[in-house]
Amino acid sequence: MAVNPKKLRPYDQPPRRRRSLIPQAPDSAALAFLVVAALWLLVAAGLGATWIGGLLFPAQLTFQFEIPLPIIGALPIDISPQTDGAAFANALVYGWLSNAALGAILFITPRISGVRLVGERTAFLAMVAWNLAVAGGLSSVYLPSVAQVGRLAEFAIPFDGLMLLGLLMVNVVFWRTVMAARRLPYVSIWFFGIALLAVMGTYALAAAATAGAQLISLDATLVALLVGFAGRAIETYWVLGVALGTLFYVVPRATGNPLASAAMAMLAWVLWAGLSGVSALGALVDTSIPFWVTMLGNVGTMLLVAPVFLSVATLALTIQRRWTLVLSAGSIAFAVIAMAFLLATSLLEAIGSLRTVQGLVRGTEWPIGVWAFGSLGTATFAAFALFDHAAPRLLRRDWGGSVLTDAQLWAGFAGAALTGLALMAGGLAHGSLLHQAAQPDEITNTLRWFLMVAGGGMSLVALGSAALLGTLFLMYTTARKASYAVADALAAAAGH
Amino acid sequence: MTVATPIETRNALPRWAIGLTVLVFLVGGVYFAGNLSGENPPIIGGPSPSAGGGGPAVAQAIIADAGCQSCHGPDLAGQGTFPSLHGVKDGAVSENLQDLYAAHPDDWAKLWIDGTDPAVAGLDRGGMPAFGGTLTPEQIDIVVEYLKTLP
Repeated sequence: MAVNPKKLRPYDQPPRRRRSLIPQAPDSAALAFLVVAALWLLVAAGLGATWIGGLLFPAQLTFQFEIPLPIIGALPIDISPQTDGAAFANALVYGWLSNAALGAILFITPRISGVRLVGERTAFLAMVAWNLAVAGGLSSVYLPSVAQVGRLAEFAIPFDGLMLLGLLMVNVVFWRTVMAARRLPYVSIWFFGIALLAVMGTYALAAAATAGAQLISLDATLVALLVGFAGRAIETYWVLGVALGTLFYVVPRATGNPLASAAMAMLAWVLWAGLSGVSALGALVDTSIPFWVTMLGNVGTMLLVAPVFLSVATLALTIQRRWTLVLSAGSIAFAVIAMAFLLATSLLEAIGSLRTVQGLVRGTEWPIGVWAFGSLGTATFAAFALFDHAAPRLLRRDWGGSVLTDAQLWAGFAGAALTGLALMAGGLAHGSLLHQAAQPDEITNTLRWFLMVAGGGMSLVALGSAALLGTLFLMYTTARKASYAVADALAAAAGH
Repeated sequence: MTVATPIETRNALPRWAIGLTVLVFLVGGVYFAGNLSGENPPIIGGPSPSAGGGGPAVAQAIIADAGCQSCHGPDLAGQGTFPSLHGVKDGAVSENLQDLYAAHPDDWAKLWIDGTDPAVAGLDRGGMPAFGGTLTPEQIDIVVEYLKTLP
């Protein structure tokens, strides 16, 4: 029977679709991860600026006190350059870069496999678990009674468990989606697959080591070595791997060109997958470790230049005839900056792995400067490139960019470059002074200038992150609605 | 609704890419073969090879890494409410350490920096962290020996 909708009375109308507490619409989880990531970048940059400020003015920015609590007595709080530094590193890697990485994986995987994400709700719950863990873990860094020791492993034990749960959920969603795909995976999927498994495994290793230290009094040196190995592996497999996978997706999409050489990209993947683990052996520095093992790790770090160069070459060849895109702030400009930082970071890491250089810069600011190049430069700009490409599609907005995108690009670029270069130069100066057995005041006075420049750089990064948040806000509130591609199995099977 | 599209690819592997990879591995192999002998330094947070024998450079590195200067000043001469460490060789550097110094005149500084020994349990630390969890006893020895050399 035909129904005239104009004659429908209220009780004839179909019930309105109820909104689920846990969204299950396509891309819900990816959007949530990316929006939260942008907020974390601002937090991380703020913590970074506070950390450097604390190094410059320790007396003014060190606060140690106790909060009286009814049941446990007193809760000691330690806000100092040490805890600020740990909070900054964790907020940057687990807050900003990891949320952006997980968002990128959940955005890209359905689009190149042609299958809707299998387990959108699970992925959304993973986002909730991950971010609760990061927020709680960051707070625990300031509580000396529960904080752990070791780079990127400072979170209290319960938060480690929650983070691992989040990673497990994303792994399940990712692998189920990839298994459901009907075509051979594109190279980005290969990068994401190894990166996801590796970050879960290495984070579990670090968490088990720190838990072992507390629960069964595991040897402190063994714990420090395991945590050091895991921290380095997280950088090479997770931070670098996802950045490469993201660039391999964004560059062909944004230029409209085919990937210049799938074989070269796969060769880069094979070399990266093998050498990332070898490179992590370089973190095993102790008298109890045979020297050749550490040296093998250092050589692995040097050899990582090969996959990085092959990746950058493939991407540069892909941009051919579309280089004018670099002239305007957008995905390709962000991607090219990420590629430049990528090359610089791999070369600097290779130089830093040389035995003579290590003797000079060990225990100085040099490694932190190189790390800043990799995290604030390479990985951050790869994520920026993805944001520029993905945000209009996820928010379903017709967006051509704004002056804020330029601000994001220039502030972010100048900030990452200044921070990294100042810390590296400071590290070289520090190392030289240590070898001359200089007095502590001479070292501190010399480092002050480098730290001031690094602090300025970090403030610029904070400005760039504010510009990213402003862009997202303007895009959502002012741009026209538009429809974009959504992965669909039937359409993919039809060959579209 | 528009749909997902695969990314087009070209499959050729340039010869220079293979050549470059082989060259990088050759250079790495030669470097590895030429640097097999040596000994690792102690891990930061792990035991050092010779207790108390680290020298000023090692001590300064440990002090810089532990962040001592953030409270005790760039030249460890004290700032604000944090005492100078230049008087360690002469005994307690602050009022709250007088009793500890009297009871343990030889190792009071080590006990204080470590902070985990029952001998320092009831003392007001005034914001000073206990480094027993982050530095090894040998590293604390190196730091104390260095502090005793300060004028």
